[in-house]
Amino acid sequence: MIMSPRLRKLTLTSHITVSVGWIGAVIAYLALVAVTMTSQEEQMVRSAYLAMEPITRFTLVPLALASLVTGIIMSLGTQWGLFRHYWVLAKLLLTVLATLVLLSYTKTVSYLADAAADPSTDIGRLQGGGGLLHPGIGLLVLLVIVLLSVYKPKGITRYGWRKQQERRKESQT
Amino acid sequence: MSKSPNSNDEMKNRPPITPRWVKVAGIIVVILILLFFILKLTGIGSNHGPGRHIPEGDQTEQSVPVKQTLFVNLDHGITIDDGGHL
Repeated sequence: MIMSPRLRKLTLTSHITVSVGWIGAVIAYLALVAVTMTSQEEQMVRSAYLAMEPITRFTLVPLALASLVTGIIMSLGTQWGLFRHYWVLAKLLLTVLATLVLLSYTKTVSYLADAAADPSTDIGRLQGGGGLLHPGIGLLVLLVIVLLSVYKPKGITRYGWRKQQERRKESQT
Repeated sequence: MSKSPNSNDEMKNRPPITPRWVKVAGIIVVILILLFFILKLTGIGSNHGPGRHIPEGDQTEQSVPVKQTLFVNLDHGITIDDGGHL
């Protein structure tokens, strides 16, 4: 079902907002990881670990899910479709992958926050808050998704081509 | 030399070729998946649970209780740390 132009703009605005918000939240999370890796002050490091949990739980996860859902709605409600163009399919797969990895990473974040909340935990043993690997790669994936959205590289799938053929035949009859 | 009159129709009726960027991306994905399985088989990245952030065998006097935590170790399956100490 193709959306009306007004609804399409609303959905597009929502999708862009939550997606860019997701990128911002990842960058904020990376700033906290940087604190845990570089700061010499124990209180600062503990605070960073503690802050990671609400950022993950209340911004990263909801924004990721919202980005995925609005993206699917946008695809299904426009001529682009979800499986007709390679750039849309690639965006979908990358978003699903990033969301799944994020959801599995929440356990690590909670673990670190719980450990930091306990005053008797030796902060030095927590080794820099899980490191830059997950959020760094996550940010890279999100930037690739942005590139795909803006450049929309050409390429129609076989399914998309079949749909095009069907539409062409319908318009000829 | 002119083109055959049906060549344009034939082009439209032929399924599209996969673009180069899709092929390159697909190769990269396959390499990453292979790398992932190689790391798992060689045991380099085996412990992927939250516990990997604590050095192994590091027993200190100060220990803190942790909540029951689920560790997923792809080599040894799922284990539950039931009220152990760091």
